[in-house]
Formats: sequence, C-alpha cells, structure tokens
Amino acid sequence: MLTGCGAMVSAAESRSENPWREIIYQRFRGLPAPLLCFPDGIIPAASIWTGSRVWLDALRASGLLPGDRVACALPPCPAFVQLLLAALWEGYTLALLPEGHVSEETLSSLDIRLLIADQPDAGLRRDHDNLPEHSARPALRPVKSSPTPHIQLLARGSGTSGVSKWVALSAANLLSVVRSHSPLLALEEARVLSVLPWHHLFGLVIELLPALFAGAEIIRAERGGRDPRELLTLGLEHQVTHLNAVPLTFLRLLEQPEGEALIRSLRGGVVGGAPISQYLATALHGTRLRVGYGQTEAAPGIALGEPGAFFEGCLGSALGCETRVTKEGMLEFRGPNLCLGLWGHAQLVAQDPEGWRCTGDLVEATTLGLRFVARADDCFKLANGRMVTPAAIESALRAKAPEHARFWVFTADNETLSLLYGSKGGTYAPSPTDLRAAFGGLFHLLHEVRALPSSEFHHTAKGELDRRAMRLALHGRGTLPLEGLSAPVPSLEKQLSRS
Amino acid sequence: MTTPASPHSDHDEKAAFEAIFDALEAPEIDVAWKNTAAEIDATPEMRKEAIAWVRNHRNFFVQALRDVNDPIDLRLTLALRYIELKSVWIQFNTTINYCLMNKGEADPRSLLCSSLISQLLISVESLLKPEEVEQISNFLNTPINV
Repeated sequence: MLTGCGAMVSAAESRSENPWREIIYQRFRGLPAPLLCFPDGIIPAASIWTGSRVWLDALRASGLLPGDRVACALPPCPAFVQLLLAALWEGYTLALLPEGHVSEETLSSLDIRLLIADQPDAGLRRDHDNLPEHSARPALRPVKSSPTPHIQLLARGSGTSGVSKWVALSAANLLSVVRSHSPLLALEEARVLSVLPWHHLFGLVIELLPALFAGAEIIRAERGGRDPRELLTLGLEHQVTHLNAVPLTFLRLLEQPEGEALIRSLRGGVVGGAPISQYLATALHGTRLRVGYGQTEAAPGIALGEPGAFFEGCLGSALGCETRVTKEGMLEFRGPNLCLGLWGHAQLVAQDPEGWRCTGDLVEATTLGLRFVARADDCFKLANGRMVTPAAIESALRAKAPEHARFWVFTADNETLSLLYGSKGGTYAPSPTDLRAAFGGLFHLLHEVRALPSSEFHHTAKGELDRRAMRLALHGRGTLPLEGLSAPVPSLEKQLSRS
Repeated sequence: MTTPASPHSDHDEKAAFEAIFDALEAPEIDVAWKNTAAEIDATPEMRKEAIAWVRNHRNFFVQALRDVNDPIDLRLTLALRYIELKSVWIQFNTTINYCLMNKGEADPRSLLCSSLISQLLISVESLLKPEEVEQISNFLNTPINV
C-alpha cells in the first residue's frame, strides 16, 4: 500500500487492532449508501469516507496522537459524522459537547487537547461543509494528564442532580450496544428521520451508528423534534420508515392531524429518554415502534421493548446486559455496556468492570418487562421517616385524570405533602376518592391541594416534569400563580366520609 | 463465478452476449454518451476526447469477449474486463471526491470520464449475474491493510 498520502491507509494503521476500521472501510469507502440528507445537500457514503480522511489528515498534521482528547461541539452536520469516523478510526478520545455550550471550565475539566466547534476562529471552511482549512494547523491545548487511548468517548451523563458528570466509554462499550440493538431495529433499506441530538448517546449509539452501519438513508430534521410540521413534511417527502425520539416528540406529532398516520406507517424506531405516559402508551400500542431504556453509563442501551408493546412506564426487557432489581426496587445492570467510569478533573474514576451499576431508577419487574416507577433522586423522606415517591403518586392521579392533566407532589415543610394540579381550561380537579387512592397510606399527610395554570408547569426538554424548576418557581422566586383554595385535610375527610 | 450448466445454456448465453454487443455498438449509445457529456461543464474538445476514450474502452471490451469462444473462459474474460472497468471508475470517483472536498471543484475531464464509464458499466453489468456483481464488489471493497 502506498504511504505518505492522507487518503491512503498507512503501514502504522495496518498494525492496529482497532475494531472500527474494517467496519468503516467496508461501509463507506466508494459506496452510495448510507446517505445523509440535510436541508442543504445529500452526502453519499463515499463522500462521508473522503471527508473523514480529510479530517484525519488535518488532525494528524496538527500533531494529535491516538488517545488525545478531542472535544466536538459541532451541530448535527456532515462534518460531525466525518469527524466522528476519523476519531473512531484513529482512536482519539472524543468528548461530545452540545453546540454553543463550550466553556473554558468544561474544556479544562475534561483536559481537552483540541476543540472543534462551529465558530469563526475554529479553522473550519465556512463555505464547504465545515471541513478543516488546508493551511490551518490548530494549536493544541496544554493538558495535565496523558493520552487515554482506552477511552473512546466522553459523554455527558443525564444526571438529575444538576452537576455535570462525564462518562468514559470504551470502543467495546459502544460496539456492544450497537451489536446487541442493531439486529432488532429493522434497518434494512431504512429511511431514518433523525431528530435526536447526536451528542447524546441515544442519538449517537441507538440511532446514528446503527443507521450508518446498516447503510440507511438518514434524513436530518433541521429543527430536531421541536417542529412536528417539519417532521410531517420530511416524513412524506422521504417516505421515512424509522423515527427515534423522546416521548414529547411523539406527543407533538399526535397533536397534528396527520401525525398518527405517520407514526403508524413507521417500520421501526425507538421511543426513549423519558417515561411513557398512559396516553402515549395507548397511542403507540400496535405500532412497530419499540420502547428503549438506558443511561449514558450503559453506552446507553440497557433494555428494549417488543414492537408495539407499550404500557405506562414501560422500559422493555434487558438487552445486551444483565439487570436486577434490588429489594428497594432499584434497577441495576452489568455487562459489556458498562462504562469505564466517570471522568473529571483530568482523571478517570474507574468503575469495577464486573460490578453492578445502580441506575438510580426505581422499577417494577412485570411479566411484560420492566416498568419505571420513579427516579430515586426525586424521592424524598419526610421528617417522620416516611419515604415518598412523588412520581408514583402523580402517575396514579394521571391514570384517573383527563389526558393533559398535570400534577406535582412535593413537601414544603418536610412534614406534610402538597399537591399542585392543572389541566387545559382549568376545569378539572381531582376527586377526594382519587386523591385517597393515589396517596394511599400518605393521604393523612396531604396538607394542601391547589390548582395551577397548566402553562406554569415546567418540563424538561424530554417532556418530564422539571421538579427543580418547579421548586425554584415556588420558593426561589415565588412566581407560581396559585389558583383556587387550599383543600385542607379535614375538608377532604368530610367529603370522603359523605361519599 | 458460476459455470454454464449445459450446451443448451451455453448457446443461450452466447446469444445473450451477442445481443448486448449489438446494443453496446448501436449508434444510440453514442447519442447517450454525448447527452451525458453535454451536461458536464467542460469544453467541446474535452467532451470529444472523453467520448473517444470511452469508445475505445467499449471497443476493447467487445473485441476481447468476441475473441474468446469457450463459454467458461468467456465468463472469466467478462469478469476480468468488468473488474478493470469498475476499477477505473472507482479511481476516478476517489479522485473526484478528494478534489471536491479539498478544492471544492473537480477536473472536468475526470467528471466526464467517470460519468461515461459508469454508463458503460451499467450496460456491462447486465451480462453478469447479481451474485457475481456482488462478489466482485465485495472483492474490490475488501479493506487493504486496515
């Protein structure tokens, strides 16, 4: 083989045992598919390959070595895919950052050697798919720790504590999930409508990599999942067969007249990233979509459901790893998907590779698969020692309420419980019977029940109730416009006693 | 590669080859090449040279197969000539991709030759069985020292 040209495979490469190289070479070099469809152009596999070699040439020329940590803060674009393939090929440790959220503190904590971001001074060609400039030789940052060739990816964990944690994953972690999940994703001749962010592992490992390696056509929605009209237009135009998204995206689609028809026409796709509500479970029942469950620490696949099998809180069954439920109801997993550990302050806090990893999710094992109960972080203990699982109470209330009713159970004083509820039009109020049933043995601690305009309920991007934002609004700023009167326990008891 | 099953199928196969040769040498293919070349931003001289170049490839292909009588060797010759044409196309495609990535534009001569030879490849491919095309494609795409 010739050497000395960036496009050629060097002798040094031939000595490597990098598992990605053969996959990438055979899947992309000189082939028409996979195909990336962006609003401003269509990129066939052969061009993805060539672009990745141009990137590799530039990165090598800059002095980067395998194991050097490279931060990618590009949006979903051809350059993102080309850089990803170059990093996998060469064994760079790639840190995935959301576009526009790069801080010196993050770069320093990750101990990044090179940042690649879509910004004016980044050495990227503005007029040509963000490929690196010929003459640009980006200055490498000084680093504190040595290269980490055993770490393939640094991905931000989706912890609810508000403190960013970076999960270190190996090539074997990523490949184990791609290999366990891909056969069930039905990606033969697929046209995937892509809405997930690729710097999240759901988008990267469950959607992008399997679709690329299956030779699929990937149609990227410019506005992600935020604009259901765009999804419907692209769905029709490209006759899409797959859609992977969070529940909120499917809820938005279902609000559109043609949304249900699009969802039912899909040949595959994974719904994940947030709990499945009863309403969504009913709407997706009988489709060919699957529920998916995982965490960044699991690269990210832990469980997958059967096509069309949905129920409230469903998570699917373990795939590619082992799971167990502790006596406290906590879900744990172990297997080849288990991360290397957490990365911070330029060092790895290693995870026992054989050990069980706690997910922080409380679940129930049912005959149909795992069922989500609550995040353990969302649970709290009252002063009397009683543990409260607010999500479970809210879920029970939702089951008896109109479709769009919202609930928040919290404690204001560590001794009693409060409930805020809201609905479209503000006509709904939970009945005393439903309250007693939902709160169960905690009912006597329910001190106040108030209505709140449904627009005042804060949700995360994934559509989950944002408890932190709710608490801030209630206590920090005091801006929650509470409606109605508090319903102290005695009045409820009176009503209950009459019923 | 598979071998013919019987003298009867040998005869049928040779007839099929003759039909394809006739199609490859028909005036219509020259018109198709000229139309393809006209769509590429190049000088008339470049287009003329490229059409002459692909015509030579076509002539050599047909003559090489006509000179072989034995059906088994005919299929081997077909496979070898197909591999040669496909290799030429792959090389043009690779060069064009790098030029587009690095400079934002590619040499019109390469674009012309790549487009014309891909048309010839489509015609030649019809002489091969799908599994033979797949086998050759896999071989040409087998990683070297990866």
